[in-house]
Amino acid sequence: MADLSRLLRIEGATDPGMVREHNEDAIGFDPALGFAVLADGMGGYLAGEVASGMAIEMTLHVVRGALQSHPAHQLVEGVPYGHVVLEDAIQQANSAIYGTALSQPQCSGMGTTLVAALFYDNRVLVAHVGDSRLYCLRDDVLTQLTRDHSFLQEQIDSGLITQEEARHSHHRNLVTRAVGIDPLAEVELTEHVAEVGDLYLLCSDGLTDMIDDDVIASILLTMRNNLPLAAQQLVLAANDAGGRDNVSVLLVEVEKPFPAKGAIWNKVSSLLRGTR
Amino acid sequence: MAKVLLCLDGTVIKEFRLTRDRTSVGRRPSNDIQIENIAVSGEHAVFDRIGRDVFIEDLGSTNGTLINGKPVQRQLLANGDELTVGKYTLKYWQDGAPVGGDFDKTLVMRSAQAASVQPAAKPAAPVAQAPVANAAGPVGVVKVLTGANAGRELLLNKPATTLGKAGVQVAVISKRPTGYFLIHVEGKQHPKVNGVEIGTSARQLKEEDAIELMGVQMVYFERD
Repeated sequence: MADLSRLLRIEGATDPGMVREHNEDAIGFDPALGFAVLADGMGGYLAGEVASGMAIEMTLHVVRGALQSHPAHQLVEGVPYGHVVLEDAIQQANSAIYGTALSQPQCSGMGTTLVAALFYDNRVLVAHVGDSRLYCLRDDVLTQLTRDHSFLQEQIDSGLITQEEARHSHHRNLVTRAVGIDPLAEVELTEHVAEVGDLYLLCSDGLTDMIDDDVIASILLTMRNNLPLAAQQLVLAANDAGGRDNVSVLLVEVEKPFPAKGAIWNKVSSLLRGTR
Repeated sequence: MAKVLLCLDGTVIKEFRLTRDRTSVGRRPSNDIQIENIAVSGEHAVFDRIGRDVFIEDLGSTNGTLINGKPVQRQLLANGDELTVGKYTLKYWQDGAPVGGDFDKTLVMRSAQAASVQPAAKPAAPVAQAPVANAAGPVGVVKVLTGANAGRELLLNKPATTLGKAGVQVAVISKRPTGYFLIHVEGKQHPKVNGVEIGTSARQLKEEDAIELMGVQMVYFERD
Protein backbone atom coordinates (compact mmCIF):
# COMPACT_ATOMS: atom_id res chain seq x y z
CA MET A 1 0.00 0.00 0.00
CA ALA A 2 1.27 3.43 -0.88
CA ASP A 3 2.25 5.61 2.09
CA LEU A 4 1.51 9.30 1.50
CA SER A 5 2.55 10.53 4.95
CA ARG A 6 5.85 11.99 3.63
CA LEU A 7 4.10 13.70 0.72
CA LEU A 8 1.08 15.23 2.46
CA ARG A 9 0.79 17.06 5.75
CA ILE A 10 -2.51 16.95 7.63
CA GLU A 11 -3.45 18.93 10.73
CA GLY A 12 -6.80 19.55 12.35
CA ALA A 13 -8.59 21.30 15.16
CA THR A 14 -12.09 21.06 16.57
CA ASP A 15 -13.69 23.18 19.26
CA PRO A 16 -17.16 23.47 20.85
CA GLY A 17 -17.16 27.24 20.26
CA MET A 18 -18.28 29.93 22.69
CA VAL A 19 -21.96 29.02 23.13
CA ARG A 20 -22.49 25.28 22.88
CA GLU A 21 -21.72 22.90 25.70
CA HIS A 22 -21.13 19.91 23.46
CA ASN A 23 -19.02 19.47 20.39
CA GLU A 24 -21.13 17.68 17.78
CA ASP A 25 -18.37 18.05 15.18
CA ALA A 26 -15.82 15.31 14.66
CA ILE A 27 -12.67 15.04 12.56
CA GLY A 28 -10.45 12.17 11.50
CA PHE A 29 -7.47 11.71 9.23
CA ASP A 30 -4.77 9.28 8.19
CA PRO A 31 -1.80 10.86 6.41
CA ALA A 32 -0.52 7.47 5.21
CA LEU A 33 -3.81 6.81 3.39
CA GLY A 34 -4.08 10.40 2.21
CA PHE A 35 -7.53 10.57 3.79
CA ALA A 36 -9.23 13.32 5.79
CA VAL A 37 -12.87 13.45 6.93
CA LEU A 38 -14.97 15.94 8.90
CA ALA A 39 -18.56 15.63 10.15
CA ASP A 40 -21.01 18.02 11.78
CA GLY A 41 -23.61 16.02 13.68
CA MET A 42 -27.18 16.95 14.44
CA GLY A 43 -29.91 15.50 16.62
CA GLY A 44 -31.20 15.58 20.16
CA TYR A 45 -29.24 15.31 23.40
CA LEU A 46 -25.80 13.88 22.56
CA ALA A 47 -27.17 12.17 19.42
CA GLY A 48 -25.36 14.65 17.16
CA GLU A 49 -22.06 13.59 18.69
CA VAL A 50 -22.95 9.94 18.21
CA ALA A 51 -23.76 10.48 14.53
CA SER A 52 -20.65 12.49 13.65
CA GLY A 53 -18.43 10.15 15.68
CA MET A 54 -19.84 7.09 13.92
CA ALA A 55 -19.37 8.74 10.51
CA ILE A 56 -15.68 9.42 11.19
CA GLU A 57 -14.91 5.98 12.65
CA MET A 58 -16.79 4.10 9.94
CA THR A 59 -15.35 5.96 6.96
CA LEU A 60 -11.80 5.69 8.31
CA HIS A 61 -12.28 1.99 8.97
CA VAL A 62 -13.75 1.20 5.54
CA VAL A 63 -11.23 3.28 3.57
CA ARG A 64 -8.30 1.81 5.51
CA GLY A 65 -9.48 -1.75 4.94
CA ALA A 66 -10.38 -1.33 1.28
CA LEU A 67 -7.15 0.38 0.20
CA GLN A 68 -5.15 -2.55 1.57
CA SER A 69 -6.50 -4.81 -1.17
CA HIS A 70 -6.31 -2.46 -4.18
CA PRO A 71 -4.76 0.94 -4.86
CA ALA A 72 -7.19 3.85 -5.23
CA HIS A 73 -6.21 4.63 -8.84
CA GLN A 74 -6.91 1.11 -10.16
CA LEU A 75 -9.87 1.11 -12.51
CA VAL A 76 -12.85 -1.00 -11.51
CA GLU A 77 -15.34 -1.19 -14.36
CA GLY A 78 -13.93 2.06 -15.72
CA VAL A 79 -14.06 3.92 -12.39
CA PRO A 80 -11.05 4.49 -10.12
CA TYR A 81 -11.33 2.18 -7.12
CA GLY A 82 -11.04 5.21 -4.78
CA HIS A 83 -14.45 6.43 -5.96
CA VAL A 84 -16.01 3.08 -5.18
CA VAL A 85 -14.33 2.97 -1.78
CA LEU A 86 -15.31 6.47 -0.70
CA GLU A 87 -18.93 6.08 -1.80
CA ASP A 88 -19.09 2.71 -0.03
CA ALA A 89 -17.50 4.10 3.15
CA ILE A 90 -20.12 6.84 3.38
CA GLN A 91 -22.97 4.44 2.63
CA GLN A 92 -21.74 2.13 5.39
CA ALA A 93 -21.58 5.06 7.79
CA ASN A 94 -25.07 5.99 6.65
CA SER A 95 -26.42 2.50 7.32
CA ALA A 96 -24.81 2.36 10.75
CA ILE A 97 -26.20 5.75 11.81
CA TYR A 98 -29.61 5.11 10.28
CA GLY A 99 -29.84 1.70 11.96
CA THR A 100 -28.84 3.11 15.34
CA ALA A 101 -31.30 5.96 15.00
CA LEU A 102 -34.09 3.46 14.35
CA SER A 103 -33.18 1.09 17.18
CA GLN A 104 -32.18 3.60 19.89
CA PRO A 105 -34.99 5.99 20.83
CA GLN A 106 -32.57 8.59 22.25
CA CYS A 107 -30.82 8.68 18.85
CA SER A 108 -33.97 8.99 16.79
CA GLY A 109 -33.63 11.43 13.93
CA MET A 110 -29.89 11.93 14.30
CA GLY A 111 -27.72 12.57 11.28
CA THR A 112 -24.56 14.32 10.21
CA THR A 113 -23.04 16.33 7.41
CA LEU A 114 -19.80 14.98 6.02
CA VAL A 115 -16.95 16.16 3.85
CA ALA A 116 -14.09 13.85 2.98
CA ALA A 117 -10.99 14.06 0.80
CA LEU A 118 -9.04 11.11 -0.55
CA PHE A 119 -5.68 11.95 -2.11
CA TYR A 120 -4.27 9.56 -4.69
CA ASP A 121 -2.34 9.72 -7.97
CA ASN A 122 -1.86 13.52 -7.88
CA ARG A 123 -5.59 13.97 -7.51
CA VAL A 124 -8.00 14.75 -4.73
CA LEU A 125 -11.34 13.00 -4.63
CA VAL A 126 -13.89 14.97 -2.63
CA ALA A 127 -17.12 13.57 -1.21
CA HIS A 128 -19.65 15.69 0.59
CA VAL A 129 -23.14 15.57 2.02
CA GLY A 130 -24.67 18.70 3.57
CA ASP A 131 -23.05 22.06 4.30
CA SER A 132 -19.55 21.15 5.46
CA ARG A 133 -17.11 22.46 2.89
CA LEU A 134 -13.81 21.92 1.14
CA TYR A 135 -11.70 24.84 -0.04
CA CYS A 136 -8.44 24.91 -1.97
CA LEU A 137 -5.78 27.58 -1.54
CA ARG A 138 -3.68 27.67 -4.72
CA ASP A 139 -1.51 30.54 -5.98
CA ASP A 140 -2.74 32.64 -3.03
CA VAL A 141 -6.38 32.28 -4.11
CA LEU A 142 -8.95 30.50 -1.95
CA THR A 143 -11.59 28.60 -3.93
CA GLN A 144 -14.57 26.72 -2.57
CA LEU A 145 -14.68 23.34 -4.32
CA THR A 146 -17.90 22.01 -2.78
CA ARG A 147 -21.38 23.40 -3.16
CA ASP A 148 -23.51 23.23 -0.01
CA HIS A 149 -26.52 20.94 0.05
CA SER A 150 -28.57 23.53 1.87
CA PHE A 151 -31.82 25.42 1.58
CA LEU A 152 -29.86 28.68 1.25
CA GLN A 153 -27.71 27.37 -1.60
CA GLU A 154 -30.89 26.30 -3.40
CA GLN A 155 -32.31 29.78 -2.92
CA ILE A 156 -29.10 31.33 -4.24
CA ASP A 157 -29.04 28.95 -7.22
CA SER A 158 -32.62 29.78 -8.14
CA GLY A 159 -31.90 33.51 -7.90
CA LEU A 160 -34.27 34.11 -4.99
CA ILE A 161 -31.58 35.72 -2.87
CA THR A 162 -28.04 36.98 -3.34
CA GLN A 163 -24.86 35.71 -1.66
CA GLU A 164 -24.81 38.82 0.51
CA GLU A 165 -28.43 38.36 1.61
CA ALA A 166 -27.65 34.73 2.39
CA ARG A 167 -25.13 35.83 5.03
CA HIS A 168 -27.95 37.41 7.00
CA SER A 169 -30.66 34.84 6.37
CA HIS A 170 -32.41 32.92 9.13
CA HIS A 171 -32.00 29.73 7.11
CA ARG A 172 -28.26 29.20 7.41
CA ASN A 173 -28.88 26.11 9.50
CA LEU A 174 -31.05 24.10 7.09
CA VAL A 175 -29.34 21.32 5.16
CA THR A 176 -31.08 19.40 2.38
CA ARG A 177 -28.90 16.31 2.58
CA ALA A 178 -27.40 14.44 5.52
CA VAL A 179 -25.80 11.11 6.36
CA GLY A 180 -27.95 8.74 8.43
CA ILE A 181 -31.43 10.12 7.86
CA ASP A 182 -32.50 7.82 5.00
CA PRO A 183 -31.69 4.23 3.99
CA LEU A 184 -29.34 5.61 1.33
CA ALA A 185 -27.20 8.77 1.50
CA GLU A 186 -27.03 11.10 -1.49
CA VAL A 187 -23.27 11.56 -1.85
CA GLU A 188 -21.71 14.09 -4.21
CA LEU A 189 -18.31 13.05 -5.52
CA THR A 190 -15.99 15.37 -7.40
CA GLU A 191 -12.39 14.97 -8.42
CA HIS A 192 -9.73 17.64 -8.88
CA VAL A 193 -6.08 17.73 -9.91
CA ALA A 194 -3.87 18.27 -6.86
CA GLU A 195 -0.70 20.33 -7.28
CA VAL A 196 2.36 20.68 -5.08
CA GLY A 197 1.81 23.68 -2.81
CA ASP A 198 -1.97 23.27 -2.68
CA LEU A 199 -3.49 23.75 0.75
CA TYR A 200 -6.89 22.13 1.25
CA LEU A 201 -9.27 23.17 4.01
CA LEU A 202 -12.16 21.01 5.19
CA CYS A 203 -14.43 22.86 7.60
CA SER A 204 -17.79 22.86 9.33
CA ASP A 205 -20.28 25.73 8.99
CA GLY A 206 -19.21 26.95 12.44
CA LEU A 207 -16.20 28.44 10.63
CA THR A 208 -17.79 29.79 7.45
CA ASP A 209 -20.85 31.23 9.20
CA MET A 210 -18.65 33.24 11.53
CA ILE A 211 -15.84 34.53 9.33
CA ASP A 212 -15.63 35.61 5.70
CA ASP A 213 -13.66 33.73 3.08
CA ASP A 214 -11.12 36.56 2.81
CA VAL A 215 -10.36 36.31 6.54
CA ILE A 216 -9.86 32.55 6.12
CA ALA A 217 -7.57 33.19 3.15
CA SER A 218 -5.58 35.78 5.08
CA ILE A 219 -4.98 33.40 8.00
CA LEU A 220 -4.00 30.54 5.69
CA LEU A 221 -1.66 32.72 3.62
CA THR A 222 0.19 34.15 6.61
CA MET A 223 0.43 30.97 8.66
CA ARG A 224 0.62 28.17 6.12
CA ASN A 225 4.20 27.35 7.10
CA ASN A 226 2.89 26.35 10.52
CA LEU A 227 -0.22 24.24 9.89
CA PRO A 228 -1.10 23.50 13.55
CA LEU A 229 -0.99 27.24 14.24
CA ALA A 230 -3.12 28.02 11.16
CA ALA A 231 -5.75 25.47 12.25
CA GLN A 232 -5.78 26.85 15.77
CA GLN A 233 -6.01 30.48 14.56
CA LEU A 234 -8.96 29.69 12.28
CA VAL A 235 -10.84 28.30 15.28
CA LEU A 236 -9.81 31.32 17.34
CA ALA A 237 -11.07 33.74 14.67
CA ALA A 238 -14.45 31.99 14.55
CA ASN A 239 -14.68 32.16 18.34
CA ASP A 240 -13.63 35.83 18.36
CA ALA A 241 -16.49 36.52 15.98
CA GLY A 242 -18.96 34.95 18.40
CA GLY A 243 -18.32 31.22 18.10
CA ARG A 244 -22.03 30.44 18.00
CA ASP A 245 -21.50 26.92 16.69
CA ASN A 246 -18.94 24.14 16.99
CA VAL A 247 -15.91 24.90 14.81
CA SER A 248 -13.78 22.32 13.04
CA VAL A 249 -11.03 22.54 10.46
CA LEU A 250 -8.73 20.10 8.71
CA LEU A 251 -5.78 21.31 6.67
CA VAL A 252 -4.06 19.17 4.05
CA GLU A 253 -0.94 20.48 2.36
CA VAL A 254 0.51 18.83 -0.73
CA GLU A 255 4.26 18.91 -0.09
CA LYS A 256 5.43 16.60 -2.90
CA PRO A 257 3.90 14.96 -5.97
CA PHE A 258 2.18 11.66 -5.21
CA PRO A 259 1.76 9.80 -8.51
CA ALA A 260 0.41 6.27 -8.25
CA LYS A 261 2.90 3.49 -8.81
CA GLY A 262 1.91 1.68 -11.95
CA ALA A 263 -0.24 4.57 -13.09
CA ILE A 264 1.94 5.01 -16.15
CA TRP A 265 1.51 1.39 -17.08
CA ASN A 266 -2.26 1.80 -16.69
CA LYS A 267 -2.18 4.83 -18.95
CA VAL A 268 -0.19 2.99 -21.59
CA SER A 269 -2.44 -0.04 -21.46
CA SER A 270 -5.57 2.11 -21.68
CA LEU A 271 -4.05 3.81 -24.72
CA LEU A 272 -3.40 0.41 -26.25
CA ARG A 273 -6.97 -0.61 -25.57
CA GLY A 274 -8.11 2.62 -27.16
CA THR A 275 -6.26 1.91 -30.40
CA ARG A 276 -7.74 -1.48 -30.81
CA MET B 1 -44.68 36.04 12.97
CA ALA B 2 -43.58 39.20 11.21
CA LYS B 3 -45.61 42.41 11.26
CA VAL B 4 -45.39 45.97 10.02
CA LEU B 5 -46.59 49.11 11.77
CA LEU B 6 -47.91 51.84 9.52
CA CYS B 7 -46.84 55.18 10.97
CA LEU B 8 -47.40 58.82 10.05
CA ASP B 9 -45.37 61.54 11.76
CA GLY B 10 -44.17 59.06 14.37
CA THR B 11 -47.67 57.88 15.31
CA VAL B 12 -48.73 54.29 14.71
CA ILE B 13 -51.88 54.21 12.60
CA LYS B 14 -52.33 50.54 11.97
CA GLU B 15 -50.65 47.15 12.41
CA PHE B 16 -50.47 44.55 9.65
CA ARG B 17 -49.44 40.93 10.16
CA LEU B 18 -47.47 39.37 7.29
CA THR B 19 -49.36 36.08 7.23
CA ARG B 20 -49.16 35.50 3.48
CA ASP B 21 -46.21 34.82 1.20
CA ARG B 22 -46.80 38.15 -0.53
CA THR B 23 -48.25 41.28 1.06
CA SER B 24 -48.68 44.19 -1.32
CA VAL B 25 -48.38 47.89 -0.53
CA GLY B 26 -49.89 50.64 -2.69
CA ARG B 27 -52.48 53.37 -3.23
CA ARG B 28 -55.08 51.17 -4.98
CA PRO B 29 -57.75 49.45 -2.84
CA SER B 30 -56.62 46.05 -4.19
CA ASN B 31 -53.48 46.21 -2.04
CA ASP B 32 -53.19 44.33 1.26
CA ILE B 33 -51.77 47.47 2.81
CA GLN B 34 -53.50 50.44 1.22
CA ILE B 35 -52.00 53.89 1.73
CA GLU B 36 -54.02 56.91 0.56
CA ASN B 37 -51.27 59.29 -0.39
CA ILE B 38 -50.43 60.98 -3.66
CA ALA B 39 -46.73 60.09 -3.30
CA VAL B 40 -47.55 56.38 -3.12
CA SER B 41 -47.81 54.49 -6.42
CA GLY B 42 -50.85 52.36 -7.27
CA GLU B 43 -48.76 49.23 -6.82
CA HIS B 44 -45.81 50.44 -4.83
CA ALA B 45 -43.99 47.57 -3.17
CA VAL B 46 -44.45 44.05 -1.88
CA PHE B 47 -43.34 42.09 1.19
CA ASP B 48 -42.09 38.73 -0.03
CA ARG B 49 -41.89 36.03 2.62
CA ILE B 50 -39.63 32.98 2.19
CA GLY B 51 -39.75 30.80 5.29
CA ARG B 52 -38.80 33.12 8.14
CA ASP B 53 -37.11 35.62 5.87
CA VAL B 54 -39.05 38.65 4.65
CA PHE B 55 -37.85 40.73 1.71
CA ILE B 56 -39.15 44.08 0.55
CA GLU B 57 -39.30 44.59 -3.19
CA ASP B 58 -40.05 47.89 -4.89
CA LEU B 59 -42.44 47.41 -7.81
CA GLY B 60 -40.97 50.22 -9.90
CA SER B 61 -42.79 52.91 -7.92
CA THR B 62 -42.48 56.53 -9.00
CA ASN B 63 -41.03 57.79 -5.75
CA GLY B 64 -39.21 54.63 -4.70
CA THR B 65 -39.00 52.66 -1.47
CA LEU B 66 -36.43 53.59 1.17
CA ILE B 67 -35.09 51.40 3.95
CA ASN B 68 -33.58 53.39 6.80
CA GLY B 69 -33.28 56.29 4.38
CA LYS B 70 -31.65 54.38 1.51
CA PRO B 71 -33.50 53.55 -1.73
CA VAL B 72 -33.74 49.82 -2.37
CA GLN B 73 -34.88 47.52 -5.14
CA ARG B 74 -35.09 44.34 -3.09
CA GLN B 75 -33.67 43.68 0.34
CA LEU B 76 -33.88 41.24 3.20
CA LEU B 77 -35.51 42.95 6.18
CA ALA B 78 -34.03 42.97 9.65
CA ASN B 79 -35.92 43.55 12.88
CA GLY B 80 -36.59 47.28 13.36
CA ASP B 81 -36.02 48.32 9.73
CA GLU B 82 -37.96 51.44 8.73
CA LEU B 83 -39.42 51.67 5.26
CA THR B 84 -40.38 55.01 3.83
CA VAL B 85 -43.21 55.00 1.32
CA GLY B 86 -44.29 58.52 0.39
CA LYS B 87 -45.01 60.39 3.63
CA TYR B 88 -45.58 57.19 5.55
CA THR B 89 -43.25 54.93 7.47
CA LEU B 90 -43.62 51.18 7.77
CA LYS B 91 -41.78 49.67 10.73
CA TYR B 92 -40.84 46.02 10.36
CA TRP B 93 -40.88 43.73 13.40
CA GLN B 94 -40.39 40.03 13.77
CA ASP B 95 -41.71 38.22 16.84
CA GLY B 96 -40.02 35.26 18.44
CA ALA B 97 -36.90 37.37 18.48
CA PRO B 98 -33.57 35.76 19.18
CA VAL B 99 -33.20 34.16 22.56
CA GLY B 100 -30.01 32.59 23.84
CA GLY B 101 -29.16 28.92 24.03
CA ASP B 102 -30.08 26.51 21.36
CA PHE B 103 -30.25 28.71 18.28
CA ASP B 104 -28.60 28.00 14.99
CA LYS B 105 -28.71 24.23 15.35
CA THR B 106 -28.34 22.47 12.06
CA LEU B 107 -31.57 20.89 10.90
CA VAL B 108 -32.26 18.57 8.02
CA MET B 109 -34.86 19.56 5.53
CA ARG B 110 -35.96 17.37 2.66
CA SER B 111 -35.93 19.23 -0.64
CA ALA B 112 -39.63 18.59 -1.21
CA GLN B 113 -40.47 20.53 1.93
CA ALA B 114 -38.40 23.48 0.87
CA ALA B 115 -41.24 25.60 -0.44
CA SER B 116 -43.32 25.52 2.72
CA VAL B 117 -40.57 25.42 5.28
CA GLN B 118 -41.24 26.43 8.86
CA PRO B 119 -38.33 25.36 11.02
CA ALA B 120 -40.62 24.05 13.71
CA ALA B 121 -40.16 24.96 17.34
CA LYS B 122 -36.76 26.50 16.74
CA PRO B 123 -36.27 30.08 17.83
CA ALA B 124 -35.06 32.42 15.16
CA ALA B 125 -31.35 32.48 14.65
CA PRO B 126 -29.98 35.92 15.30
CA VAL B 127 -28.96 37.76 12.19
CA ALA B 128 -25.26 37.33 11.53
CA GLN B 129 -23.11 39.89 13.24
CA ALA B 130 -20.49 41.15 10.87
CA PRO B 131 -17.28 40.00 12.54
CA VAL B 132 -15.41 43.24 12.13
CA ALA B 133 -12.53 43.50 14.55
CA ASN B 134 -11.57 46.95 15.73
CA ALA B 135 -13.78 48.47 13.04
CA ALA B 136 -13.83 51.94 14.51
CA GLY B 137 -11.06 51.82 17.11
CA PRO B 138 -7.41 52.68 16.66
CA VAL B 139 -5.37 50.81 14.07
CA GLY B 140 -2.10 49.15 15.01
CA VAL B 141 1.06 50.20 13.20
CA VAL B 142 4.54 48.69 13.14
CA LYS B 143 7.38 51.03 12.27
CA VAL B 144 10.72 49.61 11.14
CA LEU B 145 13.61 51.31 12.91
CA THR B 146 16.72 49.57 11.56
CA GLY B 147 17.92 47.73 8.45
CA ALA B 148 17.17 48.29 4.76
CA ASN B 149 13.53 49.17 5.39
CA ALA B 150 14.18 51.64 8.21
CA GLY B 151 11.46 54.25 8.41
CA ARG B 152 8.82 52.08 6.74
CA GLU B 153 5.44 51.78 8.41
CA LEU B 154 3.25 48.71 8.26
CA LEU B 155 -0.44 49.38 8.81
CA LEU B 156 -2.02 46.38 10.56
CA ASN B 157 -5.41 46.62 8.87
CA LYS B 158 -5.70 42.97 7.82
CA PRO B 159 -6.79 40.03 10.00
CA ALA B 160 -3.20 38.82 9.90
CA THR B 161 0.01 40.57 8.80
CA THR B 162 3.26 38.73 8.14
CA LEU B 163 6.67 39.87 9.36
CA GLY B 164 9.95 38.25 8.33
CA LYS B 165 11.03 35.96 5.54
CA ALA B 166 9.60 32.56 4.62
CA GLY B 167 12.05 29.74 5.30
CA VAL B 168 14.10 31.87 7.71
CA GLN B 169 11.91 33.41 10.36
CA VAL B 170 8.27 34.37 10.15
CA ALA B 171 5.95 35.94 12.69
CA VAL B 172 2.39 37.12 12.26
CA ILE B 173 0.53 39.95 13.93
CA SER B 174 -3.05 38.82 14.33
CA LYS B 175 -5.79 41.42 14.66
CA ARG B 176 -8.46 40.39 17.15
CA PRO B 177 -11.37 42.17 18.80
CA THR B 178 -9.33 42.36 21.98
CA GLY B 179 -6.22 43.80 20.32
CA TYR B 180 -3.13 42.84 18.32
CA PHE B 181 -1.15 39.67 19.01
CA LEU B 182 2.34 38.72 17.87
CA ILE B 183 2.68 35.00 17.06
CA HIS B 184 5.71 32.98 16.05
CA VAL B 185 5.06 31.00 12.84
CA GLU B 186 8.35 29.46 11.70
CA GLY B 187 12.10 29.55 12.16
CA LYS B 188 14.52 28.50 14.90
CA GLN B 189 14.58 31.98 16.40
CA HIS B 190 11.48 33.41 18.02
CA PRO B 191 10.81 37.14 17.84
CA LYS B 192 11.65 39.32 20.85
CA VAL B 193 9.37 41.84 22.51
CA ASN B 194 11.18 44.41 24.68
CA GLY B 195 14.28 42.22 24.56
CA VAL B 196 12.56 38.98 25.68
CA GLU B 197 11.89 36.08 23.29
CA ILE B 198 8.24 35.18 22.96
CA GLY B 199 7.52 31.48 23.16
CA THR B 200 4.99 29.58 21.12
CA SER B 201 1.98 31.36 22.56
CA ALA B 202 0.55 34.61 21.24
CA ARG B 203 1.83 37.82 22.83
CA GLN B 204 -0.54 40.78 23.05
CA LEU B 205 1.13 43.99 21.90
CA LYS B 206 1.09 47.20 23.93
CA GLU B 207 1.80 50.77 22.87
CA GLU B 208 5.52 51.31 22.16
CA ASP B 209 6.46 47.64 22.46
CA ALA B 210 9.84 47.07 20.80
CA ILE B 211 9.82 44.09 18.43
CA GLU B 212 12.95 42.39 17.14
CA LEU B 213 12.86 39.90 14.30
CA MET B 214 15.81 38.71 12.14
CA GLY B 215 17.92 41.38 13.83
CA VAL B 216 15.59 44.17 12.71
CA GLN B 217 14.20 46.53 15.34
CA MET B 218 10.60 47.66 15.09
CA VAL B 219 8.18 49.53 17.29
CA TYR B 220 4.46 48.93 17.70
CA PHE B 221 1.98 51.73 18.32
CA GLU B 222 -1.67 52.54 17.73
CA ARG B 223 -3.02 55.31 15.58
CA ASP B 224 -6.55 56.72 15.74
